[in-house]
Amino acid sequence: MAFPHRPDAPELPDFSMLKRLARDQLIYLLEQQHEVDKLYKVENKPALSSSEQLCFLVRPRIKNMRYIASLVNADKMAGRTRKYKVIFSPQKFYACEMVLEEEGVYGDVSCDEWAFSLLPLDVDLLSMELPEFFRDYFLEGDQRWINTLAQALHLLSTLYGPFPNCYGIGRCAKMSYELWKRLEEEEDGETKGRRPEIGHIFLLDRDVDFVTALCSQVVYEGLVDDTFRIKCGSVDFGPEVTSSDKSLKVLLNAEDKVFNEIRNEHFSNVFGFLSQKARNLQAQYDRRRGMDIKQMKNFVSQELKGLKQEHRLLSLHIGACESIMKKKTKQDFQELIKTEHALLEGFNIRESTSYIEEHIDRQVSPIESLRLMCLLSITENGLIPKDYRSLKTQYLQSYGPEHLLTFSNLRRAGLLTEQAPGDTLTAVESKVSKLVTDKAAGKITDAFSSLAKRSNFRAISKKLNLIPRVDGEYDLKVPRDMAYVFSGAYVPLSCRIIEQVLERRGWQGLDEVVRLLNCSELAFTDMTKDDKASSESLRLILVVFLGGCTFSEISALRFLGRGYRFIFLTTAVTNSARLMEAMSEVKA
Amino acid sequence: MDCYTANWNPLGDSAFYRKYELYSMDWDLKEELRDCLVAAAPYGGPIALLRNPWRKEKPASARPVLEIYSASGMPLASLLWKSGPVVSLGWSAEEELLCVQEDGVVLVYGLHGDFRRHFSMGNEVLQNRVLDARIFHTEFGSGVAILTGAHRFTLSANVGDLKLRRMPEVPGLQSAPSCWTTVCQDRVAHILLAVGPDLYLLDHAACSAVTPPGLAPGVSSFLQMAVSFTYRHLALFTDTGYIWMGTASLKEKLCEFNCNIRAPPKQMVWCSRPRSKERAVVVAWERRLMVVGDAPESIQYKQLTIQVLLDRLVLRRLYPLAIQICEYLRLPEVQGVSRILAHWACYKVQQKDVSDEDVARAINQKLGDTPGVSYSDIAARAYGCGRTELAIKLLEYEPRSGEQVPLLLKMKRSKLALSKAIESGDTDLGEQGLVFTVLLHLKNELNRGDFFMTLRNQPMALSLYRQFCKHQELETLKDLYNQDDNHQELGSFHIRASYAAEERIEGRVAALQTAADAFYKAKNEFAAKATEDQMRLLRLQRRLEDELGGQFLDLSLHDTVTTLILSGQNKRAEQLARDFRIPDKRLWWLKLTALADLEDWEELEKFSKSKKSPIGYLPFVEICMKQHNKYEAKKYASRVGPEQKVKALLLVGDVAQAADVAIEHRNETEMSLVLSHCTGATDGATADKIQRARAQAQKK
Repeated sequence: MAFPHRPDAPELPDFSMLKRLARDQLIYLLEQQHEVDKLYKVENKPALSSSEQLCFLVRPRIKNMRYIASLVNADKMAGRTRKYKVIFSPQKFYACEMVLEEEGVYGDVSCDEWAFSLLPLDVDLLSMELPEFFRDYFLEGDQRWINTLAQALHLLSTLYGPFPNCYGIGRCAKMSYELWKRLEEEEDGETKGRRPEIGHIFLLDRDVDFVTALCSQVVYEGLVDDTFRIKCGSVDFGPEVTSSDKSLKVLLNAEDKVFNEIRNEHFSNVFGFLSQKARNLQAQYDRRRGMDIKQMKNFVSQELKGLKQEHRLLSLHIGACESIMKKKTKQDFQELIKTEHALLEGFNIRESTSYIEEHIDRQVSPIESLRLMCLLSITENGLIPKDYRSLKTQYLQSYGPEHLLTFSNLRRAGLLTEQAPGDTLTAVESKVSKLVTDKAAGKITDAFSSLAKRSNFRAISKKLNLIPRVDGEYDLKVPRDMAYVFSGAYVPLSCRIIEQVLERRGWQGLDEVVRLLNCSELAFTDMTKDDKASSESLRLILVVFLGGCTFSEISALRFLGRGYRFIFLTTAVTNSARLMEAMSEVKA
Repeated sequence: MDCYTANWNPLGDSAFYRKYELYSMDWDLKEELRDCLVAAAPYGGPIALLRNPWRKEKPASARPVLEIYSASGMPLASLLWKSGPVVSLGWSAEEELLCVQEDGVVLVYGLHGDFRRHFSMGNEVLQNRVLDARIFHTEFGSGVAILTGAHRFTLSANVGDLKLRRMPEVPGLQSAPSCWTTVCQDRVAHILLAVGPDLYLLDHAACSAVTPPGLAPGVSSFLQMAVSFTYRHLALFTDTGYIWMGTASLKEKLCEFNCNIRAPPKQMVWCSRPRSKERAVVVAWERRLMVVGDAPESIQYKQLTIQVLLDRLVLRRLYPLAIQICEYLRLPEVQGVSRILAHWACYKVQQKDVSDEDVARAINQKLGDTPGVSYSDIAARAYGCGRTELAIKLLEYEPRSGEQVPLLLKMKRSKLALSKAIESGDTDLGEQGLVFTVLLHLKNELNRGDFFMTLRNQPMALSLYRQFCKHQELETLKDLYNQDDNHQELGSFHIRASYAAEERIEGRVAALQTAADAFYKAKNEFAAKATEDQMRLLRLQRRLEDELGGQFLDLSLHDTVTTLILSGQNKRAEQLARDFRIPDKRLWWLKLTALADLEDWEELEKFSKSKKSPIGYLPFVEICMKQHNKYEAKKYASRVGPEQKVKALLLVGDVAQAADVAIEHRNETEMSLVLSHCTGATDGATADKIQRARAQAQKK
């Protein structure tokens, strides 16, 4: 039941090129340049290898530096000398070198960089696998990753030609875009004259739409991610799914034919689909009866393997479905979804607030409670002071006092705020916007302005018609709009923005929405007249999510189609739990 | 027509040669060439002369003069030699003159006699002195090979990237070899040397004896050897007056010749013109020159590329000519004109008699914003000549502010460097490292107060520095917040410290107190109160551990009360709930869960009757069913209020009664809910009942 793409839908660009590129670079780097002959996973434990040289391929994280320093120092204590090389990917941070220096091992270690940042997780999905991006940028205001982003975009344009139409919204999107353009200018000639393969690129900051990312996912792929956590395109199905005593690591992508047909489906359709599929499969097996020898030979040599493969995948996904149903179709889950929908639509706020309070009181889950609080805050332009205090108090009592810091983080990121009396807020706002006109001052007020920013979700929702009017039941089997990814209750804001901008070929007529999103200076369009772009390429759109995107958003845009085809680049695939964990302070 | 061949003389049977003067040398030599060290650069490059006073027994009193001439003898430079005795001269591929001193120090001069740098060939050379030295060329650059007084060889294959290599010992070598040379095989430099009748090849690992194929017998010593410029060919001259010519790999002989002259030649070199198939060796004695040639073989010289040609013109300061060539060849600006202009500018800044303003203006007028010109490189050159002010003026023309930073730092203009680094960050955020570098410079340069003040005016740098401190310098972070009167962050800082840095309970409470004070200052009463509650809780948990044993520290308030109930301390639990004003609802949920976990049904029932439940009775039903106790669950199902009655009855599996209630309520949703629970034959009657009620409702 994968969405039947229109017959004229454009072909996807060849992402396997990136895979080959990465593989070749890695082999060259490890074998030729650093003479690596055995690979280990970097884990926080002593190095087992007795080799004369240790080579670390790591993300530029302080934690990793401490680990390396401790290994080197342990060797020194043991009177052992060997060579140490650190390869940072995708780039080296000065802070990392500083740590090595402060730990007294900088002289013992040589550093290198591997600028690899684009991992093709699927035929239409590239991930930079930088989950830390979200916290680093949106909480800490750390802009170091922007360079990595610009480099990645630059690589894409050298591989797939220039992008004739660029759109974007958000501060990070704008900065990345500008840096990227500068890189192109500095190395001009490389992409010039090339035929564009991808007609449009759309950059979107995660903080433009927190709401969508905070919702429970109900399309299959999103639900699998919420339930089992998909890591780097694969998932560990435990014994409860595999119905054996072993866990199984399963790649989830378009090559899994069964998965490919259900990934974008609303969960309520999946089980029915799978059982139909199982019956068909049985029928195909049954054909064996009454075959003569020759037919049987054909059957065994040509069909059986495929059937067995399908059989295996089918039973895995049925197992996953059962496990999800056990967890999710309990009354609890339905009430949860009901509360979420009420929050999105903005009715029964008191009831929802009590629901959240009960959720906290019962210690259902720290991450879930936090998520609901944030969803309430954003959809309501902040909590009213009384609720803000009491929910936080309850939360601290249930889950521990260290979350005082979590709340401070959430406030800074604009995820959980207190409603300020109307006039005070406007005063602050106008003050900030005056300051923002001064470029340098813009930076000072960065962190501060997020506090004063209103999410305006309700107004945006009305403007963009995010809550579909439904007469009667929303038929989830035959979705009519992107709202199906949330059971017909809500069209993902991020996807709606993209749809609108593409339709209008820019931001014309969306001024009010952009203002409500607090992005007046941060929405941009850049179109170059390119006669070389084929009509096919003009129907391909690369959507870049800065700060992560959810599988629901991917499904929604895959559905949107309309002769367009979307491909995705994200800093990491995310979901509500990952967002909340990124903001949480936990005791070390 | 015979005049064309009139000056050609026969050489052997099939070849002819002629002699004519290309040009006469312009120089006016004061010394005899024989008294001088002479070095001519390859490809018609310059010639260096240094009278060699050290060769004589008695050193001359006057200092010698180092002279440099063009290939046609035009004087380029002349300077008094003030350093130590020189053993050997040679030109690098970049036309730098390498002067090897007896003590192993190599001085490097430019084409115009300008001193560039010096380096040493190592301690071993210093101790044993240089006996002989050769400058040689490989595809990587130019190298130096040294024979020391201890008869050991040291070499560096590329003086641009100096790596010294001490070659292994030659077994039994008591005196200097009769002759030696460097050869290059498989991109590695080796040394070939002759000791008596034997030839040895030295590489960095071993010394091996080698024999040229087809060498005539009777040789007792090699007097001279020569390798061709490309290291392909080797010629050997023996004490029997015999010349062997072959490949440098010693795998093949090309030809041999007996000249019957036993005197050692002064010089022997390979010669031939580009693309010529005639290979020849020229041997020179005091008054005789001999050309030995044969060996037709295809050979190709690497020609000078246009880039190298331009480099040479630039080195000779022939800028206009170089630019004309670029324009004629239509070279891209970056490779051509811009590069030459940049070289010109670097020369220009060295003109000390012109004022800073004039130089800067002149350079900017000529260069404008020509692509590929780096003003920071030119400025660096100006700084190198001691012209700091000029350097700063030139940097102003540099459009990429990031490029200005390293030089500004070098010139100790750190604050300016910081604003430039940040300015570059405005557009090029990849330059975070730059900001960081400057920050660390500043941190070392300024005292703490000034450093923080500087940071305060640079918010972007401040945020970067904070990030770093968070991981590496917690104390500095605290000072930073203090400096900014950022009490909110200061409070958070101490909260974190209370569970990350402090171990003792007193320390933790103290950290929390500091945090609470900070929160009050930040007018964040909520956080202050929450922190004070936590202090109380910590102290209390400590007391509980002392009195009851078990683990209480670091539990949340909720979990603390739960733990008390689970260990039968109901009184204390109630007291705690009162002290910390736990809301009724929470307390009920908490007790309900804890008692059900204990399966203390009696206590649960007592609790349910203690007063009217603020959370209703459905949760009681749910929790009993969760513990699979239907009997207990049913007790509570009857007490569930009408709104949730159906749900409760369904939970305990009483479908029939649920149906009755739903019908009584005339509630459509409830009826469908019950219907969805009707399974199989047992509930058939109930299902019918609901259908009938529905039908009746519709009739009305």
